[in-house]
Parts: sequence; structure tokens; C-alpha cells
Amino acid sequence: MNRFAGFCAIAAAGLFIISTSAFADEAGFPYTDENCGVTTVYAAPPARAVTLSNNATELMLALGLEERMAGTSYMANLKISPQYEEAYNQVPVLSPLVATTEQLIEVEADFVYAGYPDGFSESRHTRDQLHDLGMKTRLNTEGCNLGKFGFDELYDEIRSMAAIFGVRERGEALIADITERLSSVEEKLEGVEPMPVFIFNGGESAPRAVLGNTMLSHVVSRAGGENIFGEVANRYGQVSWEQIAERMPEYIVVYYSGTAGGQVVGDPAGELGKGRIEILKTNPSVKGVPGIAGERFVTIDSVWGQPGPSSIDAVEKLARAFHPGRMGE
Amino acid sequence: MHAPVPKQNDPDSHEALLAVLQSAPPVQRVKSRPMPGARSLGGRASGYALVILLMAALLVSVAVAGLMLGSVHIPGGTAIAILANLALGDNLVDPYWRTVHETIIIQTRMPRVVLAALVGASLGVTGMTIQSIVRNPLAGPSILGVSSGAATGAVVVMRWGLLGFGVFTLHISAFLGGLVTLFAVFWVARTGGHMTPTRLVLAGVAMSAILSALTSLIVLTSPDPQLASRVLFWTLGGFGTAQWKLIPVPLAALALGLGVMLVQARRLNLLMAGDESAVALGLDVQRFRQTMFVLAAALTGITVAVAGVIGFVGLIMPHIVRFLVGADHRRSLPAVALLGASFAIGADLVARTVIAPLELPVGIVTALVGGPFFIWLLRRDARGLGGAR
Repeated sequence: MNRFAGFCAIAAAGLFIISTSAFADEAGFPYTDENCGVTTVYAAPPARAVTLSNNATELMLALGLEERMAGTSYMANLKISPQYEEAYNQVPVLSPLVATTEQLIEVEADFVYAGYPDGFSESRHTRDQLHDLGMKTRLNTEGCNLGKFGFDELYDEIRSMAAIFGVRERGEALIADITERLSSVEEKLEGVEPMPVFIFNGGESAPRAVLGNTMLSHVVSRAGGENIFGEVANRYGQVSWEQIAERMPEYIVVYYSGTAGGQVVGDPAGELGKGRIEILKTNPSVKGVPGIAGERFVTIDSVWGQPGPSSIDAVEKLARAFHPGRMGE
Repeated sequence: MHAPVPKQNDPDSHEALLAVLQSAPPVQRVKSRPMPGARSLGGRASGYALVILLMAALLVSVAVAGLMLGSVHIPGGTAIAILANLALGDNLVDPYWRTVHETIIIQTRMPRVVLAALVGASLGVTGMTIQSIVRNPLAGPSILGVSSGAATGAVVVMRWGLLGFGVFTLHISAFLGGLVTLFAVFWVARTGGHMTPTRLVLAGVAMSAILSALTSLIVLTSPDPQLASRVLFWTLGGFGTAQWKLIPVPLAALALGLGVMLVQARRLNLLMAGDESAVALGLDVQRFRQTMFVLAAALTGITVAVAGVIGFVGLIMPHIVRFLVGADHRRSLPAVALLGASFAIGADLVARTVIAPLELPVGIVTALVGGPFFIWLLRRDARGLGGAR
């Protein structure tokens, strides 16, 4: 009897130690995530996450979470940034487009993360629907944000993701790295005159512009540029060739994703990137625009243009293009 | 050219008139060739039973196909075993499959097939009723503007985040949007104290155009990045968000709506003979037309609320059914429900397999199938319809 009690005491103590050590590992749980009007409580970090966009995928890989991922999707034919390639190849690609409900069930996803707003919608799967199927969800807040979006908001996104997965210190390290690179660019660009920039999102009869409420517009400003449609409080929208001619952008950022009309594009850099440059060069209405006449084009695909760990790479690329003298080139 | 008119032994009898109507097109008053439904194949009772049986078999086959195909490959044998297990229990069918495959079939594909069937059936019966009450074979649920109104209602609520009915907010707002539009169409059509079928149709068309433009305006001016991708669902329809909890409302609505229509089937038959004849036979035409109109609009509003705007189902199914079983509503309403259900499941199947893993909005498929049929109908009945009021 005594021995049994002793055994129980030891077992209980052992259990206590194990549970507290487990608890120490997963400090910060349960964690309550408030995201785009949806409240989700995490008792433990998700183990089978699926991403529904390329910037979501990169953010998870930047936090070193590839082992907690059951799949990625919506890369189309775009390329993951080289520093994440090895980790990316360890995770199954479920679909070149947004993974379907069935695919999410099939891989037994317990967490679904979208970086674009189209990840969750009535035409695919709503967050509510996925919750009913036992999956927790998060949308990068740029996807529901109604105002400006910049690096501060991106840091919040990184912190939330790091908290959900119980890797807060990795999140802080990532933020520190981005902040350092950002201030280095800032130092080099000190005092420069902002370069007027048109961010072209395609369109032949009427041009589509990337407007003020996007990460990309903020990235342009951090790279020493100024979005000529930055004052328009929206994300994307149709403008006119006349307005572009009138606003005289000195530089053109050509933005493209891996899809057109909902379909995967075979060679996005050629068909969309180069194709859109051709559209601008052959349009008579904007012939006199300095950036177009001088062929000062720079392309940004959605992997870098959407908010994520590569946003800083986009800042550096654009800063080198806009102000080559300052950036030491 | 005209359908054979049976002998009328008792000119005062409703039955005699119905016998005429059974084989007569709804636009018979207009001097023209009969519509495709003029001479039915299933005219006799045994023929009718056979047609219904075949339609039921078709429904079961497309439903099973709908359960077996999807973006995740589940072997046919496994799919059937899962269904058998669901019907017969673990004792008879040993569950050997991965539970996720069972989840896919039972939690996503099955509610999807059921929802498609309910929506298709509802659109079919509404289309048939509307074609009778406005006596225009080119009318359908979307022609009354109710579909557009429901879509606009949903978009307004999405844009400004109004109302707070939880997960059903959008469904309720779509329904309310449809209802508001209905009253607006009524108001326009009633100017002059009288509501004619032509006015109803024209008011509906005008209202649809205004509301579609309004929907686009709201989407294009909205800073909300989620709106654009969500709106596509409401304007082109889809069954992708089907869940079991969405099923009871459209199921009850269909049961109730179809029930009322069947009870009123004889009156609907009378209406097709023309207002004067119907009045002569003691029907309060104005009032009956309004009641049925509200019923049809309510049913349409509910289908849009759960599956978005899906065109052409309600327009073309009634024509095929009239061709198969005749124009008597007692026979054609159950048939159009069955055929509409099969068509919607089939269209959804095409929508999610033809460019897999991409899914087409189901409204694209129904329009691509239904549009050419509509044009064929226009060409075929060009003379007759040109003369319709």
C-alpha cells in the first residue's frame, strides 16, 4: 500500500514536471487571436497548417515552421524566394491555385492561413465553413484592412503568427532583421527627392493602378518613391491613361501575380511582366511620360509585392532602381 | 400545326378546359405555332409514370456522380462503400477507408449535391409558375429582378457590414433584397391600378439592369479587399459553400412552395388560357397572379440567398418538361422539380471538373447550356413571340 502510494506520488511528481516543462515549451497558450473580426482560441500550436497564398507561405517559412505545415497552395508559376526554397520543397504543394475544401480535409489541415483576401470567400470556402470542419483560420490583415498598410502592420502580422505557433522569439528576430535592413535603406536614401512612381497592374483599354491602401504602395515610399495614386484610399482600381500622362511618373513599377482571369499563367514574368511593359511602350497616350519614354521599368511579382518577409527585398530592389547612386550602384 | 383539340362534351366544365390546356402552349392565345411543349410524349398516365421514373433515375445517377467526383480523387469503390456504410451501418459495411475521405463525401460533397438539387428544383418550379402567371415563355425567375435584388442585398450588407444575424446574415440580407425588389417591381408594374404581365416583365428587366449596375458600383468603389472575390459568388452562383446547416431552409421553402403550387395547379392551368377565359371561369386573376408572384419571388430569393444567382435553369427546364409531360401543372410541376434538380447537380459537376482544380461559377455553365437553348427558342418562336403583348 505504502509502496503504491509512493509510486503514485513519484508518478504524480513526474507528470507534474513533464506537464510544467511542456507548459514552459508552449508558454503563451491558450492564445486568443483576434483577426479580421474573427476570434480564435489556440490551445496549442497548429501542427498541420496549409497556406493559401505565396506571401503566407513565405511568412511561415521565414518563421521556420515548415515542419508544422501540411501543404502550400496558390504559388501558380511564380518562384519562391531563394532563401526559402529548401524548406519550401519539403512541404507538399496542394494546388497552383487556392487549395479546395476537399484538399484541405484530405491533408487533415488544422490551420489555414491566407495572405490574400481571395483565400476565403463564398466561391471557395468561408472561414466559418472551415471552422465547422475543425480548421482554424487566419487572414493576413492587409486582406481586411480598410486603411493604409505598412511595415508596422506587417510586424503585427508576424507577431500574431509567431504567437499562434508559440515561436515568439523567432518572430522578434525576423522583425529585427527587417527593421535593420529597412533603416539601412533609410540611411542611404536620406534627403532624396521622392521619385514619382506609377504602379501598373495591367489593363489595355484602361490601366489598373495599385492604390494607396496596399503594402506595395508603402514599399514604394520606403524605397524613396511616391505612388502617384497613393492618395486614393483603396487597394486596386481602374484609372485613366490621361491621368497617368498628367501626373508624369518618373518610374514605372510593373506589378503582376501568377494568374490572369483566375487561370494560371505559364510564364508570368514574360507574359505579364514583359507584356505589361509592352502595353505601356505602345500606348500613344502615355508616350511623353518620362518613366515610359526613358524605359525606366522595374517589375515586382506578387511574392514580393504582397505583405510578407520579402517586402523588405522589394524595398531594396526598388530603392536600387529609383536611386542607384545612393544605393551604391 | 396546332395541337389536336379534344372534343368538349361539356363546355362549362373545368376539366374540359384542362384537357385542352394539357396539350396547349401557354401562349396559345397568340396566333402562332405551338411551343415545344405542345405535343407531349407522356400524355397518358402510364407514359407520365414512365417519364417520372426515368427522371428520378437520372436524378439518382447524377447525384451519385456528384458524390464520386471532386478535386480530391476518391476511388469509386471507396465512395460507394462509404455511401453504403452510411445507409447500412458499420455492421454490414466495414469502414476500411481513411476518415478524411468519409468527411469529404459526407460533409462537403453530399450537402453540395443536396443543395444543388434543392436550388435546381426550386428554380424549375418557380420558372414554370412565373411563365404561367406572366404568360410569357421567355420569362424566368431572374427576369423579375428578384435575383439581382437578392444579390444587391447581400453585397450591400457585405460592403457596409450591416445587420447581425451571425452566419446567416448574408442569406437573410439576400432574401430581404429580393423582397424589396419585388415590391419595387410591383409598384412599377401597377401604375394605372392594373398589373399586366408585360408590365411585370418590363419592370423586372429594368430593375435587374439598375440593380446589377448598383452591385458593380458598390464593389468597384469599396476599399474592402475581400468584397470583389466574394461578390462573384452572388452574381454567378455556386454550391461550393454548401453545408448541412444551410439545407433546412431551402428544403422547407421548396416543400412549401411546391405544395402550394400543386394545390393551385388547376388555377395556374386556367391562367394560361388567358385572363378573359380565367375570369369567365370564376378566377380572381389579379389577386391570384399577385399571390403566386409573391410565392415565386420568395422561393427565388431563398435560392439566391443560399447559392447566388444561377440563370437559365428556371427558364429552360419548364420548356423541356412541357415537351415531355405536357402543360398541365399537376403533371409538369413535379417533373420540373426532378429535372431542375438533375440539371443543377449536373451543371455543378461540370463546373467543378471541367477545368479542375479550378472551379467555374455554376452560373457560367448553366448560361452556356441555357443561352443557346434560349436563342433557339427565340428563333423557333420568333413570329409568335413578336406578337405577344
